[in-house]
Amino acid sequence: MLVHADGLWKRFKGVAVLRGLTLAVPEGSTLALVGANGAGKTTTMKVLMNLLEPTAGTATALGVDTRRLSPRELAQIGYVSEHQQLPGRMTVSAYLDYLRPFYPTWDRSLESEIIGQFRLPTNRRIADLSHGMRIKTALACALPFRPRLLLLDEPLTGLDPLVRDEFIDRLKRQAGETTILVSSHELSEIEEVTTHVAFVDRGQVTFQEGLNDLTSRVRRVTLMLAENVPTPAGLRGEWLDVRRSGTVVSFVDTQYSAVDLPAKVAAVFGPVHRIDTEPIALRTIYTSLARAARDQQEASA
Amino acid sequence: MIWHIFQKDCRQVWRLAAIVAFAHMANAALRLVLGPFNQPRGLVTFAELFSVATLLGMCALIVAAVQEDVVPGASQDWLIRPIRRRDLLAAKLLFVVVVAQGPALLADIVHGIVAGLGLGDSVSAALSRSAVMVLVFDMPVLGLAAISSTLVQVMGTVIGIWLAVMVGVFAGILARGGAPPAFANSGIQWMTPAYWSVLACSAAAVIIPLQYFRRATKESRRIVVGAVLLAPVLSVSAWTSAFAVQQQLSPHAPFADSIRLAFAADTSAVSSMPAGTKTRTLLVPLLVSGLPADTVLMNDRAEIHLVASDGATLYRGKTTPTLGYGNDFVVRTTDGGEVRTRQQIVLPEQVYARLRNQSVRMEIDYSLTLLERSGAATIPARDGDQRMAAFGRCRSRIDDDGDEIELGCLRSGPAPTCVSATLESVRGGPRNPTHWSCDPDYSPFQVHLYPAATSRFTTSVDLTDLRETMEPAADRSQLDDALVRIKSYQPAGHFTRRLVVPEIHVLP
Repeated sequence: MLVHADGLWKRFKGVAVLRGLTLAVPEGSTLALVGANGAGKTTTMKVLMNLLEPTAGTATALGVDTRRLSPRELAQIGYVSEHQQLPGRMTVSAYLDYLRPFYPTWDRSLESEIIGQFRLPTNRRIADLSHGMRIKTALACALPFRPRLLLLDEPLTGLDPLVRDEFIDRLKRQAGETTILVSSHELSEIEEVTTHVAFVDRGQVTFQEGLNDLTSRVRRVTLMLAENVPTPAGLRGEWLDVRRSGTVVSFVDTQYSAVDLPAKVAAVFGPVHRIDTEPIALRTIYTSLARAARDQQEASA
Repeated sequence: MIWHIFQKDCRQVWRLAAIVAFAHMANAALRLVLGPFNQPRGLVTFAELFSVATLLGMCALIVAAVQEDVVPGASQDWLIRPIRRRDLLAAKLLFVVVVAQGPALLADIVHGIVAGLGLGDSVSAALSRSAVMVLVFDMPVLGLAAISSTLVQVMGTVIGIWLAVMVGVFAGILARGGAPPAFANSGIQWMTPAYWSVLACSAAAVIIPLQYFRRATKESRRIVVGAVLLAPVLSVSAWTSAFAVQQQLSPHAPFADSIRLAFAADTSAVSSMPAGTKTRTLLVPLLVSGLPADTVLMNDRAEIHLVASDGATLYRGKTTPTLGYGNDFVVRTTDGGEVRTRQQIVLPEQVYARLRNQSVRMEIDYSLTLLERSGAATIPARDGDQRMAAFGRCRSRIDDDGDEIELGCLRSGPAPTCVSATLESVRGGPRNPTHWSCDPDYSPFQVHLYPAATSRFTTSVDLTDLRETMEPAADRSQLDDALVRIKSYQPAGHFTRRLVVPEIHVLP
């Protein structure tokens, strides 16, 4: 594992933002850290970069305790965040000139390629750039040294579609060569490059698995009931986002199994005319899970 | 990578650095124009404001360089870069020494050389000043910059610190019933800025590594608050402790051991005179004996206790710290031996009314400083211009009114504590009365910090003796052959004496 967090806790003024978060990012993967606002994604990223010290628990990056990350490790880690404060008074080219000597593996041809792809105005001050240009600048400063690990914290927030496409395109080219940990709300965009998903809720990773496994086990199921029987109270817990229109019932099955589903459906609704299943996008999986978590939270409150 | 980071900072703030460097040079040029006589007067205020502005510019330059890589917070880009913290800190220190302090050093050296102080003196004074400035000014500014994110925050912090220290000092004054701190305006007043400097320097020495190696901004800010709380402590400390420290810091002067103070009246009678409507001044005759030749004895402070025959305290007070101008005395002697003087004691009228009808025991605890001659030289009275080892580069001239010879000197390091000037003819004969000017400063540090490494002092001698008690040795017609003999005096020892007069009678 290139990144490993074990039982991370982080409190700010007594408020726990991370509550024993555990996470593992396999080498070569692109792991999407998915969760609602305030779930703890940014804090996790900052702990992994040693920008924040965890209150308890441990985290390692490149096999080193994040609290002891030295320039040797940092020379192999790229980090881009929407909150990143780049030196605004420097021009893009001056900043690249400044950074180059710190990275022994800096690839100038890759730097030129990225600048060309992003059409970065290298002679302008960073402070004078638009938000999108600044994010692209941050990425242009994070990739030319071919990092082993790339941490992207909400990099797509506030970017227009064209810039997003350019950004994703660059990530696609980088994927495989670099292990990527990305937190983003723009799930439809990052799905293309994601290999693994970790769902963060209230400071904990509620589950983590490969994207293929996830999309295989989470399916939208649509039933055509034989009779207009009422929907029983207390449906199975793994069925989320249940909707009904007459004899048509649809839900997200988070434990889908083609073999077991007919029996489970029959046990709840009786005989059905038809069962249709379809894979669903990561974004829908996320919203279904998030909504269920929120409902559960409200119910328990 | 130190040099690489340093170069980056230089490239980023070179405009401000150039402005501040120019300001240092302009400052030096202004001081040269003002010369040893600090004239023309119209330029003095501008020069003073310009010096302050230059210092603020220097402060802004340090802050700008440090905040090129802001330390507080968790979003700064440099934090995620493979930059060694010690390299970053070393680069900032290099910037402070070379870019912020370097031009000041250069300006001091150029100023000293052009003013005629000589290369060696100019360089050594400039180096001493810059070294101290780095410690007591640049490092604290660096520390403040390292706990802030913007120049505005630094300015706010500085204003806050200043206000808090002033509140502390004024609270002390109020607690003393309106009296200033025990050693304000005295020769040991250097302790207050020295204490503040040590406090600021110590706080910076803790904060800077704390910020750069642990980024512990909260702890660092607490240290600033702690230093601010400690700042007024010295202003509430007692005179006796402060003077004891001064004694420890000064070399032992064996000849001071022989100095004695005694009540000098044949009878126990003490005269008095009115001093305002509600006060009266006792004139206590004193005999100071055992004085070495060519010395000055300064009464830094006298704690006075007047006790009635029944043991009740009638008066307890102290002399004002304004040497030579209040109820204090300065004894100057050329030949040494014994000198008669008077201790003035200003009493409220009601205390005086109680005293005059009874015999009183008088106890006075003196804190004294003996100054010995540190240099002597002569300079032509009219349009003299010469370099003198103990005084620096001096000039003499007749003042605008035509009744005084003015003497102005520029010197590397601080000005002498006391200077005497006597107008005399080269052919010998009588001399005009000696004019003395004293500005007591018993600081053990031979460094002049502000506004430059050189200090300026002036004195003057009357062309005619206004008291008309003796013929002037040098009148205008003789000025071409007249000299001003100047002597400087520096503290040689600090000591205490206790004078007890068992019985005095205050005369009406």
